Amino acid sequence: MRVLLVEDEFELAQSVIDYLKKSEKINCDYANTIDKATELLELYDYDCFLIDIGLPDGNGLDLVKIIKTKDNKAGIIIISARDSIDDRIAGLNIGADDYLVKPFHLSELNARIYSLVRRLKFEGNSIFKLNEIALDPQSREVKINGTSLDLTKSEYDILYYLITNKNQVISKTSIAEHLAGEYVDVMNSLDFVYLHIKNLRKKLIKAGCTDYIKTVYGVGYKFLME
Amino acid sequence: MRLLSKTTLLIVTVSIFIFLIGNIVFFHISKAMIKKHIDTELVSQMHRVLSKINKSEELFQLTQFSDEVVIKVMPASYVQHPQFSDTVLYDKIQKRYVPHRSLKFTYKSVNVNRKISIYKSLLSSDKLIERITISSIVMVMIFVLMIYILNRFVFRNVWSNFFSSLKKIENYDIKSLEKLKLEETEIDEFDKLNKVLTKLVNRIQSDYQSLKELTANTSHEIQTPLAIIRNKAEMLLQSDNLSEKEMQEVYSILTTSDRLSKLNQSLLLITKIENNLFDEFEEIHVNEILEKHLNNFAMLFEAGEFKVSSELTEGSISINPILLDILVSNLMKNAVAHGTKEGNIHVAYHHPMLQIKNDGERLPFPEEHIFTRFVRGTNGSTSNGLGLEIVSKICNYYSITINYSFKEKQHCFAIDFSNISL
Repeated sequence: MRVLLVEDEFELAQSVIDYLKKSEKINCDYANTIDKATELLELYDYDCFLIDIGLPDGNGLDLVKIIKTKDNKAGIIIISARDSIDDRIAGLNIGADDYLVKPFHLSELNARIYSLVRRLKFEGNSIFKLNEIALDPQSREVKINGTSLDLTKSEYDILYYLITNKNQVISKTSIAEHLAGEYVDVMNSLDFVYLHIKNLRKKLIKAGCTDYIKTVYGVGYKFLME
Repeated sequence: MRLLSKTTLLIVTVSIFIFLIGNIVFFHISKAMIKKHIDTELVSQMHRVLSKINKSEELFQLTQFSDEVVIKVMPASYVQHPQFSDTVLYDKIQKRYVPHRSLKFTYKSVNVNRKISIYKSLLSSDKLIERITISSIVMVMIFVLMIYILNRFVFRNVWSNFFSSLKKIENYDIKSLEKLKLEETEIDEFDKLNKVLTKLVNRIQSDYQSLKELTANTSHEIQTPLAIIRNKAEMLLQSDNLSEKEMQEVYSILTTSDRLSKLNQSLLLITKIENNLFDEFEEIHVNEILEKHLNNFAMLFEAGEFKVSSELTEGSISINPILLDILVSNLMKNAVAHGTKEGNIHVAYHHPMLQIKNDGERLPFPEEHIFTRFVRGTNGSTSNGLGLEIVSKICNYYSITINYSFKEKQHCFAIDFSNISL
């Protein structure tokens, strides 16, 4: 998978590149201006674009328009520090697939790229398998060794989130925000994530699945699969 | 009252008043002048009568000199100094009593003392005064009508620029990027007014724009460094050679930067509300918004952390959708954050009244501080203390009332949307 990140803040870009490389072996190219991005666009085929709105030589939305005119089938995720509804609607209207507000969790970004690319590449008909676990994002069905597992919505979301970020330490807040969105600040104080992970683990072990979910004490969880 | 009606009314009342007084004065003056004129006529007639008497003595035999001159023989001791007086005499032609002016005096000659009375009819002069008065009233009426018409005409011409400017200002939207343009006029005062207004409006507009940009920019400029801190902390968490304690410290950097960015967002939101940056509104079904939030809730609390119940009736209000969303979610968050575990949360909407109740303990601070910034309960360490302030700011913004009460171990927030209900 090849991703182009267009972001003027080098430090931020560096973390994104490192994280994507480490977790999913994603090759991430980096451009800090629209000019450079259009150049790279001519040279390589990308599966996904991550575009910041505020760029030194223009508005990121213009770059989205350029990509769309090239009949590119790649996914586009806008990352912006401006949480304004107008920007969000404008971005999605001109063909962006997703909109992520800064500051975001790297694990969240990773999960979004992963889902988007899978959805575009396999047009949603992709059941992905990891050892004994088979996960169908379309029907939200999970099978362990062929037998389906009954999970609640939150449990499924957690499992999917952990798997897309496998072998990475996922912070509790990041999971909570992934599940609860704007309600996250309330959830943190309620051991909400802990409760759901506990149930999920129980169900997985009962179905004969290896206990891949490791607790990183006081910090979060890690889906460990070598 | 409109400017035109006001000025017309004022001019007409004042002119009617002035003309009324003028007419009364004019009436009395002309009456006095006519009287004086008749008196001089009487005196000259007296002289004419005396000269005629002096010429021919036989005339003295006559008692009736003419219709208007009456001569009477009187005792020698009778003396009448010349004296004017008003009387009423029978007029044979008119066949009625008619007011007369008279001059009476005595004349002594050859031992005969005579009293002579000269009369003059006032009939024609009274008629004259009547006619003058009527014609002056008609004149005044015509004059007032002319003033009325003239005033309208002058008004139309002189004030037209003023009204076109007024209309433009009325329809002008501060938020539009267009500059306010007012027509030039040849009237100095209006020109000055237009210049002052244009300057003022442009100033307000540029302030509004820069404020809008400032809020957006501040948000951007602060969020980016915070994003870097958070992402670097997240990267650190992936490092394999950190001890458990170091991991936890990195984690607290992560969560603290989170808190900081949420605080920043909340403060920006308050600034935006206070500065009127949410002025678009739509017709929104409150029950639908509440259902959406309750559904999200049900999914989050599927493990049964709370007993959520609701009672919703149809009803729509005119509000900014983002603000309504924030209002509802902040109240729900508040109910979750301060509700007892496995307690009840009840949401009721009886158009246009919204009530959100949750079980809980009495507030550790006075009730009136509940909407104050950074006043928090004891168990909400992750809350930033701005949630309810945002709620009250939104309510203030729409002038809707929100009430807090604590009864039977239940916190209750009641909002009355009747101001903006449809």
